[in-house]
Amino acid sequence: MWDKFKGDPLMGFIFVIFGLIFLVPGIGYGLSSPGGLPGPGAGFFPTITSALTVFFGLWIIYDGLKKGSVDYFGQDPEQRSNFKIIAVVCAAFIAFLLIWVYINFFLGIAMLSLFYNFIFKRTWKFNLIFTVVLTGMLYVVFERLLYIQFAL
Amino acid sequence: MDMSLWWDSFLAILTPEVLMFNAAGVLIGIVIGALPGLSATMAIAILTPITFWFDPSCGFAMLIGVWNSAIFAGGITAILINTPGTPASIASTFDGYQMYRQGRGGLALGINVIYSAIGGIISTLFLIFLAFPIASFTVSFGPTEYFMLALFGLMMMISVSENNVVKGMAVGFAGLTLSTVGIDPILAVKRYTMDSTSLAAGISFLPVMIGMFGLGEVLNQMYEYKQSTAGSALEMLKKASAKLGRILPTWKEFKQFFRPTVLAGAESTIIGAIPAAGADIASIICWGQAKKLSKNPDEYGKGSAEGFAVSCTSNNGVLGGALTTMLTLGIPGDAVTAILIGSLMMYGMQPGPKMFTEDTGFVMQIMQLMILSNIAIVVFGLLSAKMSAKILNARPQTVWVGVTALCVVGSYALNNSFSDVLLMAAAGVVGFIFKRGGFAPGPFILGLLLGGMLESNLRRALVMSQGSLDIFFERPVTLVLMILIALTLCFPLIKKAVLKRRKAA
Repeated sequence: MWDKFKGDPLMGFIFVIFGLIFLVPGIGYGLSSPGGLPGPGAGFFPTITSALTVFFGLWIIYDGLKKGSVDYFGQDPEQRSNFKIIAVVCAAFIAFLLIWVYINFFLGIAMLSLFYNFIFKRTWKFNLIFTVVLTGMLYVVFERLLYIQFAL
Repeated sequence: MDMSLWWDSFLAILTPEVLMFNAAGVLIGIVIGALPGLSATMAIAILTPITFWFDPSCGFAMLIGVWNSAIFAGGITAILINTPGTPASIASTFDGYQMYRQGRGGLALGINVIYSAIGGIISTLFLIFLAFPIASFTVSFGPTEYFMLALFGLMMMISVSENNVVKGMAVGFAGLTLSTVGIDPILAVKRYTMDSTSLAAGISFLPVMIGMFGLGEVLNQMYEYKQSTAGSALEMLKKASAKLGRILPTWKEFKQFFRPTVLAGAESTIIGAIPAAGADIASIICWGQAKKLSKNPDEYGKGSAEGFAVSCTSNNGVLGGALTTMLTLGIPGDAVTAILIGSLMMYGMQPGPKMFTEDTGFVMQIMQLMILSNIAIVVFGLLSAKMSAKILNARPQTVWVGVTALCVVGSYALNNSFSDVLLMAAAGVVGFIFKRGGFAPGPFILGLLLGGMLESNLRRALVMSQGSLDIFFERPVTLVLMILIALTLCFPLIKKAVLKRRKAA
């Protein structure tokens, strides 16, 4: 049963929820202008677009249940470890953002580069050279030449 | 047109800084275009916030350089490993790879450089001669025309989105819905802001774009990565670099290619001017058309140098057409022109007929930069033709790490805003899921970008008509655009019915 609701029906459901989140307050903003002014109100356009998002979301659910869904995350055996890598990459990215917020951007980017190259099984020599070049380039171009302040 | 204005704008771009930025853009574009999986869209999305810190002429010199050269460089992989570097080079695989297999890889690389530049120059000439008359015609456009134009652009994008119009519609309307976050354009009412000052300014489309086209693509490539396929591609490249032969076509070949390539240049410019009809569609149509008109149609698809020259001309030929629509109407025809519009807005300019009166000099500079970029492509492209095969030796993992870092810096650099980085990361995850499910991100981005224009013009039109919808049926241009939108939406259904009937027959 659950299998039927994976893929397109689930994605359609997300569109329906997204549309509803905007539709309900949208109606509240007013479909016509306040005080008898001519023309539509602030809620007119978001109501139309969010209602249409809900409509097409429902259509996707219907199509998915009737015709079957695209296999979103289908892989052959050789690709199976890729999902784990993506999860690790995302976790490392969150860690990088925390390092940036609490310590320093360039330290974070250097650690991110070292870690990514490590999980992608690059040699230590390449990893170190690449990290130094990347971090150095970002520092020189953005911080020194373009005066972008990465300190939060 | 006042020739002195052309001369002044030409002198303005003939400075060492602008030439240097343009050359840098061309070189970056060659590298990015030659790497499979990295598109011109991704390159421009990442570079746009960075160029904001430069003078407008320098920033645009770089972006125009990247755009033109990334499209041409997509042909390098098409020739050497039968994989188009960018979607625009799909038709280049038909003959380019066959030429390489026949020992004429060098000639194919040379033709790719020369005829891509010729295509770009032909379409820019069209742009130069047609943009000003079109802009003066569109001066009379009112809110109804602009509303329909924006809707037409969005619907065209949806109709070609991954062969699933319903998914395209859902994504497009979700983008439009998201564009309503912030201050209402007519009554200045705060919408969906949750009392946050950063949300009051609206959802910035550039971090979303960088996330979807940059980080989203990286995640998707990681997910699809196969060690065995990557290994065999590297082997192929090593062999490809070994022997390529002569690069330049002979004078006889030049004469032979003249007619079909000029025709392809004109055709692709027209196709490029149609919103969402990209270089991939143009090059396939032009290649098919040239085959029909050729004296040697049997050679097409089997290593025909003429067929290859046509496909190269047409993939860069669309750029002038796309720029014509973008500059004269303010409507983005594709993701790249959507970012370029965003870039012009960052510099305080509004693409559309007004730009032709208020920023005439800059419009002319953009046109001249297109020519300059194509000349730079010839110079750098021919010098690096044989070396370009080496670019492909870069491992995808190296590219992923570099692109991720640039996505972070690119999204942050625009407003020095950490929330833009978070927005980019979220958009990256959404972009990845979209890719997995066959949802094209283009309509979402276009919806986000065009939302403001659509809403303000729709509401202005309804204020003018006291709420009556008759105003949309009273103006001829609006009516024509409405019919075009209906045809655009019906096209997939008509195509389906025709194919069904053909199968039954």
